[in-house]
Amino acid sequence: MYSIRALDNLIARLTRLPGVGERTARRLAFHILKQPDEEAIHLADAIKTVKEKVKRCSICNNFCENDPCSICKDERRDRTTICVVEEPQDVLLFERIREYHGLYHVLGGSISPLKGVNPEDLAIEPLLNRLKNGNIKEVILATDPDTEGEATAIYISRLLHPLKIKVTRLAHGLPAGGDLEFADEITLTHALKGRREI
Amino acid sequence: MWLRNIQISNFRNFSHFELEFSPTLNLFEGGNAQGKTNLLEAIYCLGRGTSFRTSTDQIMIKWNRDTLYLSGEGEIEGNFHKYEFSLSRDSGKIRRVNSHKVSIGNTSYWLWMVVFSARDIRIIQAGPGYRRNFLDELLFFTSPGFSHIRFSFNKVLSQRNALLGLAGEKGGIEDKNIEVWDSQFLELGSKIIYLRLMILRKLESIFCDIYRELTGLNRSCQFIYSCSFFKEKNNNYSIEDIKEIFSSQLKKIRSKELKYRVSLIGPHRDDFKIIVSGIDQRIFGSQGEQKIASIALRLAEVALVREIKKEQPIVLLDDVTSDLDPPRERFLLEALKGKGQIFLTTVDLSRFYPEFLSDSLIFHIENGKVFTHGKR
Ligand SMILES: [Zn+2]
Repeated sequence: MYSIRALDNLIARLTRLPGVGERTARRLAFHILKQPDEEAIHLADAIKTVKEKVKRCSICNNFCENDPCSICKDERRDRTTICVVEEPQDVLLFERIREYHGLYHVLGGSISPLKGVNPEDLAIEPLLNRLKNGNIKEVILATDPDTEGEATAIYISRLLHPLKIKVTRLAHGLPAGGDLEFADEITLTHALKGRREI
Repeated sequence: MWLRNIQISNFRNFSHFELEFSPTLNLFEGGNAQGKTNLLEAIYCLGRGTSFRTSTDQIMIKWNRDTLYLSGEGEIEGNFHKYEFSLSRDSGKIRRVNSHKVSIGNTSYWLWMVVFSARDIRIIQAGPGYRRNFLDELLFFTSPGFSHIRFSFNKVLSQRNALLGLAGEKGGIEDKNIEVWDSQFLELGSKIIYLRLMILRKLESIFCDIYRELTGLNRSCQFIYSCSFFKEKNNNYSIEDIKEIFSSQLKKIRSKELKYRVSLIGPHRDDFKIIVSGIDQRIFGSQGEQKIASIALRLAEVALVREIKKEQPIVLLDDVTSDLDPPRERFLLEALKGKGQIFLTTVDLSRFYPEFLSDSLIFHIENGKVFTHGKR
């Protein structure tokens, strides 16, 4: 069968990306091949650099170039509130609405037995450690409004209950069964302001 | 509610064509395996985003093509909307209404279609899954928010089952890990059961009237919801009642669930019985009685949608009358004619009485090609 090994290799790697099917991968691979050399090298470098330079913050588990991250280091932020989210992208969403000035904690996903994600696979233990020093007055559970996000919020709220810290959950009105990412800024602002104690 | 036209490309054995429909009766006439049912399927797929025949969508794409495309104008409450459906081997299906992407599960833009087919007898005689699906389909359309409840429940159920599946492995599973799923499981499960009880009661009284008229026999009909965790007699529960019993039963069977590693009670294990003159039709009904019951059930579905939505559903009849005796065939056709749009497939036009064919639009289908014969 006709094939070019290096090209096949690139296509196979691209199909591993989320949302990229065989056909899209082929199109991207041929596009890269037809580009001037330096374009393709810049792309490869960018991928390499991001992997070398970007790390996890040892406090909040968000991505950062310098540990601790700029949010954790920022003394002007409200250091008594932690907003717990599933993914680093969710921090960007909250920062964009400019309504939240506290700290974050990135879990790195949500509980899902189907995908083999157990509570101990998430950054829940580090969250509990952060709460031990007694400075935190409120934990906002901002996991996704889907079944897995809901289950994760329930799990964490039960762990926090004995600690006597105020635990709140984003108000409904978010796209049901969805991803925080699909909420527009106004909806997210409402959800934040209308958060309720659980 | 009706479909004004359809444009079809690369669907099953069809290449490309467009058809204009009548808001009343449309007849698809032709021999076996020429594409009559395929045409019904395309109409259904355009209005609903799924097939009524297969769960393998890909099979609807013409064998030597990569993408199928359907479009057409459908009327809901006096307004026409442009419906589009495309499915490709590579990237899955896309549904658009008025050029906006709409998820398949978004029921607010469904063109409601009731399909009568020979396969309906399975609702009466096959396993409980067919009856659950029948009820839930009806709820998708008549109960806003049900599709989200049902979708979320299925997700919680599969997560819960995945977790229970780990029972017995190394450290086993901790109670607190199951409890995390239980609150959603109980909440959503109780809502589903409650809504099913409500719709079943409405359906029962309509079914009774239709069954009597269809058979000419004065028989009593009863629908009984068989729940996996409460007695059959109690069909008058509130959501709170259901949730309370569900919750206490769930605690009781915890050890059993850990043993069998699966969710043993809940709406996914329920069923309903169709009782005529005290006889459970599933177990003791003859083939003929089961056929009559399945037709009465579909007619009740049409009548209920009409009552709740104040809209006429689109009715698709897939060669369903050929094995009925003439009086019953006539009853079925008269119950439907003049009340909304109908698409009917048949091998033999001459079997219908002339008044039924009046004011109908006839299409002849042969080897994947459709010829409009015009009005009768
Ligand atoms: Zn940080």
